[in-house]
Amino acid sequence: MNILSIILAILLAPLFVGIVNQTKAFFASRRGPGLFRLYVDIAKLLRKSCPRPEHSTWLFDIAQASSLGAVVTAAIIFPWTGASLFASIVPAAFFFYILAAGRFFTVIGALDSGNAFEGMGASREIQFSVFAEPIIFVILGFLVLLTKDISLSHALLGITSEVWKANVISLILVFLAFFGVFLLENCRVPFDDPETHLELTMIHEAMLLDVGGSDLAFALYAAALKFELLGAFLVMMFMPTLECGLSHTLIIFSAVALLSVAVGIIESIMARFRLLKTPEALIGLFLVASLAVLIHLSF
Amino acid sequence: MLTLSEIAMALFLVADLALAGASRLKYAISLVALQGWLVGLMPLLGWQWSLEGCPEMRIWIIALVNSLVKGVSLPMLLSYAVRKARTRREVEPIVSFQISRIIVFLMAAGGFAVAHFLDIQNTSASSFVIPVAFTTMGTGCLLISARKKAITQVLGFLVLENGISLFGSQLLIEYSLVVELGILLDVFALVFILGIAIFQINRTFASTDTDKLNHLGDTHLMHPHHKHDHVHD
Repeated sequence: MNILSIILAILLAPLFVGIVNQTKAFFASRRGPGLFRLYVDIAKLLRKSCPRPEHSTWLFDIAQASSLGAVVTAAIIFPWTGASLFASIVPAAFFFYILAAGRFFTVIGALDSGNAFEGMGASREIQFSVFAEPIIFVILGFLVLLTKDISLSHALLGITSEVWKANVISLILVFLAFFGVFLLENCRVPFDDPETHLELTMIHEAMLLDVGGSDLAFALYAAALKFELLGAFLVMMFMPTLECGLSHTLIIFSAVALLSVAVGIIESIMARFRLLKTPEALIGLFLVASLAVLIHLSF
Repeated sequence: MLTLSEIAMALFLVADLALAGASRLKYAISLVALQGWLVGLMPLLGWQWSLEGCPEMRIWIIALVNSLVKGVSLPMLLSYAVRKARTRREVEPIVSFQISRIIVFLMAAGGFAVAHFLDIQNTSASSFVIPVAFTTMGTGCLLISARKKAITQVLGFLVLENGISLFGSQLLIEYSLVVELGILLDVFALVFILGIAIFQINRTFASTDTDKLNHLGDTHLMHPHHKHDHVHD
């Protein structure tokens, strides 16, 4: 059952990016690229060979595949059905460390390419993740306070409807902060614009300038899977626990689909923050998350 | 514990944090308007519909008047003043936005710590009121003292007043109309006077930067390093 849900998760990942893009197309009165565009793109790219910058080393070769590997590992330990063997042992922080490992490989690959723009993108990516990490850990600390358990499955399933009733305000604040982190980690508006192709304004995309062929397919797919994973994390964290099993997985996927629509709407109605504003916004989110912990501790 | 008024108070706190970091006047004004709506609707949000039935006319009127004055007319007046005075649209901070936000956060932390030790269990109010009201008042004071423009000082007064009336509406349910009207009158007069003052300052000195007013008259003798600054530059 669990394996089935993992396979489903791995297969569905590009669909959610398609949903975001279709939502944006709908708001802009365009026909849009279609829900399955990313599948077609990935299939096309996988047939191509990988060009390699002249001065790069083996680090560049392994970067995208390793990054994808990290994200897939995170997808495997994730309790899609509500309970899984790994998730009850592994601490919730481990999940984020694996995702951070994936980012590490992308950054190393970008630096190894020798392209100045990629180095700039890498620097930005790391700078913003430095600001995002405290938010994540304050939120995880909050979950541990609530559920008295550090494991991933408790962090995700610990918020029952009783807990919701007792801690509405803190949970709303934590939701806001985590939603911000979700947008940042997936390089979405207002932190980064996936549509921009000007090197000076790109963050995540700037690191992939020299990547092509199947490596690019890996990078695109890893980004889609990360979107799905963090979306599922967000949804499961705040959804009161349901019965375990495949129906749980399906509910999660439909909730992530709704989340993708929300992301699409945000991207259609909001402009991206000025680059220097992003750390400010992240400090704000950090304060919001800390406020939630504070409220929880004082009552 | 799940009540609408507590959710509104959480929004209040977030609005305080956002106000401390708001860099555009328009944005700051709309945040103040949001707080005004929340404060205005507080009597209705805090009403226990299932227990007490439909609230009486008096409460509807208080809510309506409050939210219209604080959520619509005062913000409109302020936006009008911004447009008329043709000032720069940015808030000019003396204390940086980051530091201001951290100060607001620390005030909230202090408020929660104080509320933790206070015993207000036997009043009908939620235990959130005191910290949220104090944080809002503190944010108001911060906006008054740590921003350069005259108009941000008016905004600060409004935020301060929102905090006071939040306090009043929750802790003094019976007398709140009297308290409210008193405060509202004060603030209205204040906004009125400051509005006129801003126009006057603007017309006379071509700027509403209060920093420049320091250099008027004899005060420059006390700040020799400012001697070469000119008000009319």
